[in-house]
Amino acid sequence: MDSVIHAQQISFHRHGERVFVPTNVALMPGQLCLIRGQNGSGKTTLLRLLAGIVHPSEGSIARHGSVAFIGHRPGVKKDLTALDVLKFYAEFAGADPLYGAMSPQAALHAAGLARQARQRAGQLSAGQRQRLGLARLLVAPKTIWLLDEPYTSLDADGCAWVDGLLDQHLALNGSVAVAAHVYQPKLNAPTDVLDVQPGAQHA
Amino acid sequence: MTKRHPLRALLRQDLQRAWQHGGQSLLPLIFLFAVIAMIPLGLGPGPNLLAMIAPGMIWVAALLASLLALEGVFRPDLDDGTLEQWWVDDQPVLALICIRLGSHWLISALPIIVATPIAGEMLYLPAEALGLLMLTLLIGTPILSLIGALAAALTIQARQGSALLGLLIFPLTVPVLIFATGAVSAHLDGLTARPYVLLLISLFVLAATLVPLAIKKALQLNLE
Amino acid sequence: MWKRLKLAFHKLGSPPIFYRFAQTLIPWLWSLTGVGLAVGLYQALYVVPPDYQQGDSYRILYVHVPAAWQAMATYLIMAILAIIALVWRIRTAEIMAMVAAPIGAGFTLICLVTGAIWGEPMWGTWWAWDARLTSMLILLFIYLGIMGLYAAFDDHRQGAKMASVLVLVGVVNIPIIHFSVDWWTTLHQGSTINLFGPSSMDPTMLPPLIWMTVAVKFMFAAMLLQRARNELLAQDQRKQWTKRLIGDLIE
Repeated sequence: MDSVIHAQQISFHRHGERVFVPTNVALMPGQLCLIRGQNGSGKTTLLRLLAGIVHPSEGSIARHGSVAFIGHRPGVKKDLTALDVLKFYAEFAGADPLYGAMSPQAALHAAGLARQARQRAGQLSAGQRQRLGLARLLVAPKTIWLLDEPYTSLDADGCAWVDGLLDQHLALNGSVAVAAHVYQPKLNAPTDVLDVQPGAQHA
Repeated sequence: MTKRHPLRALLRQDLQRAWQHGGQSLLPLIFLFAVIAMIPLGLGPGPNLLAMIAPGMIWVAALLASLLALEGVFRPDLDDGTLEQWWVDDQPVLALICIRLGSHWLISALPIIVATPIAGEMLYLPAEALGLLMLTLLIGTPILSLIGALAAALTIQARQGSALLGLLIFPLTVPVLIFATGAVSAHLDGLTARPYVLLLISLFVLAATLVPLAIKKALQLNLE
Repeated sequence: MWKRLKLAFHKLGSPPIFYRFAQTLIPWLWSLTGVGLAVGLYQALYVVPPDYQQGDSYRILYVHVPAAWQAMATYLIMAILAIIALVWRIRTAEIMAMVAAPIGAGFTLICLVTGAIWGEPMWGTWWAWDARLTSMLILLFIYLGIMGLYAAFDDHRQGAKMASVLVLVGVVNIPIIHFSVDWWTTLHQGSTINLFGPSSMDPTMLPPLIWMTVAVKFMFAAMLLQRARNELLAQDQRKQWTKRLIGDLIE
């Protein structure tokens, strides 16, 4: 099978310097790619490049499939209720027909936020907001998941929930790239590791 | 499967949030009346003087009021991570920008236009000028929204962004102000206002075609 | 030919090469400026006869007009540099565009101040809402806005890119502003006071104007390169090439 993301020697330049050493990425269906690297090594930048939010300064990227990106700011409007946030994403991003979409209510239930449905997102704890952000993947499922530190501020239950989500998606031949520097996902599926090297300081 | 409707979703969300904020959305309007009320206090309540300067004053007040709402056009979306979602999965970025501008105009400028008769009454605006003044506001305020949103996009990450906003916006809005108030005074002098209105419309067309592109570029630079 | 031009273009994009290029050119540009100013000012103050209406006071035109022209030309050059900076992401173009703004603002200010000094004996007031002065005043605000935007970012390059977008918006808008202000003054004054019009200019008065204009062009080029060089050094003070350069200077 062909890769869903194929990136050749991509890098991004900030202040005329490479953020990280040019990298190849080949993400296959059913594969999880764990992006590792120390702080400031460019994990976030790499994910944003793969998502298409920023364009690579060198190299090329080809994507085959719908993309969901969840950054370290989970994309949750604090003045909306949890339910409205998910309703918005269901309509805004839509669901890839390859995967079954959950209703916003069902997704909230799955995320353990059923009781918070009518609360404003601003009143939720950081961990609950993170769960809400990730619940987007259920109401608007996509083929390629690009997740930047999805385990941030989650408790043990939350981490297990995310691992379950990932396993389920991979079993359906979906693909995931995860940047994580502390928690290591515990999955059934094979995990590929990509180490990001910070770019040369004085290029 | 659910088909995606990003434009509808964004418009619905913008209006929903404005509705929830309630009074906060009407701040520009209240500000406008505060400015209007200051004018007779500063210049004296003489009807002749006020009537003469009324169209210009209402326009300047509208310009100042349009500044107020600009903080909220893009900055909250950049801060909470919703803005970057516009660039994911081939969303129609330019159309989303236009929707945001449209909802911003509906929320911040339309109430001002609707309230113009009251502001006009406070400044003894001649009755025959009211319709034309409202027409120039109807064509001109979208241009203010466009230029204002661009300045807001450029200053999202700037220090003292709000202080800069005025400096960036006012020079660029000079033509709008001149043609809009020119139309009204020409009409009051018994001349035709047609050329002014046509010039305003062409300014709007020019701004509406070019400014969204510049906004897109500016937002993209903010995401880097 | 095209390839060579492209290569030269890219070479100038590299800070050390630009630095050396600027270093060799700057003394020449300043010398030419000096010659031009000396000849121009001498002719303007001693050679050309006084005006039969305005006496000697019209001589300020030889500063006022070149400054006004340069204020506008600077914007155009800044816009071209901004396009190069945004499209090809060449850093030296970015820096030159940004250091051009204060120079442009300076010429605009000179134009406004000399205009006011000239206006006092002519109109009896220091300031009149004359079309050209008003346009110049708005141009000054635009320059100040660009400078303010650039200065408001901790990240110089981010600031330069944002300000470059603003420069390009301005370049579309400035002709419109000019046109609207012209319209506005004819509307409000009936007959325009056409003090700076070129119509009444005697041919004998022309040579100093040409000398001064050319001198101001060289002055602009010298200041642009010098400021760009300084900005580059300041921004790159921790980079290898500046360290080597400073090392050379100490030895």
